[in-house]
Amino acid sequence: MEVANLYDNGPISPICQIKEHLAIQTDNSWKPFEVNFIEPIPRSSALVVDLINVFSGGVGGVLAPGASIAGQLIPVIQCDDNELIHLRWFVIDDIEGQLWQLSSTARFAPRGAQAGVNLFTPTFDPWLATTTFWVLGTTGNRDARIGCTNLGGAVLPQARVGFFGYRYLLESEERAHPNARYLPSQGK
Amino acid sequence: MTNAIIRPFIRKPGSVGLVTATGTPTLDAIHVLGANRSGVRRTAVIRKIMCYNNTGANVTLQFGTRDFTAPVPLFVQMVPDLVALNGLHNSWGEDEIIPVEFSLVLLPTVNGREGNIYLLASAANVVVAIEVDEFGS
Repeated sequence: MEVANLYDNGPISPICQIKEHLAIQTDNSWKPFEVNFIEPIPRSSALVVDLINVFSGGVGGVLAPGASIAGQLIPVIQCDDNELIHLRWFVIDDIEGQLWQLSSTARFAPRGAQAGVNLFTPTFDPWLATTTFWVLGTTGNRDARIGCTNLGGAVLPQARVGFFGYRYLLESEERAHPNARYLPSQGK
Repeated sequence: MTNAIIRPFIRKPGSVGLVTATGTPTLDAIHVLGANRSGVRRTAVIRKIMCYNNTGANVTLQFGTRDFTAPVPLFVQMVPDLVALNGLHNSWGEDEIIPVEFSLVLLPTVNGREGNIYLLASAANVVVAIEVDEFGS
């Protein structure tokens, strides 16, 4: 399969081949790795998460018009050590989802606002390239948190977000390889 | 060849769901416009109306919004009268309904329109549901 640039505006593709090298930014430093394994994570029911269910601890509930759920830890996209998850995401219900990494660093955030993903996102960006993010399995950065706001005029019984992409297994290196590809796995 | 400009929209049921009409003069809310995180309201166009009339007589349905600048919010009819025939399921699709855009935006000749969609039925107990396209972000 074709290797993509980080935010290519087409279908999602791996950002390197096996045995190529990455330098991944996390905690404000670049960590060097060799890639040992890549597998796809297709869009599937297992990676669709109901934020109301997560927020309520499985009890359920509803999200009133205009109401928000603060960023929730999403266990299905957590990583083990030396693992990198490369994801794009979408919403299924009439909500706008927002992403935080390193616990509380807002992603997709210019100075004045934090952008989100809503039902209109795939209308303007059919391949969801602008929703791309990475989760790296290393201390402090193995999680992603998603919160949402109900944008519609109806009470929502579910607030679902879904993910798809690739999973990479990594081997740590002493220093960044000269041909390493640099990628940011967090916000700044 | 024509170039139609299609604005992005979300097609969805009226936010209130299935509504049993209260009858004149009471307005029944049938769709509340959504709003984005900045508080900017979406707009909506009715694409389909379905109702069942088992009241014993024909019932006139009016769809509109409210003028909230009046001392008591006034009904502002936005779609011509529709007659729900007695004993029948009645439905109107998007090729039959004038695509009036329900919006919080003010029109020059009209006072503050709320934008939410209301039903004013000439008699009670007609059961109505609508489908809308919401425009915005």
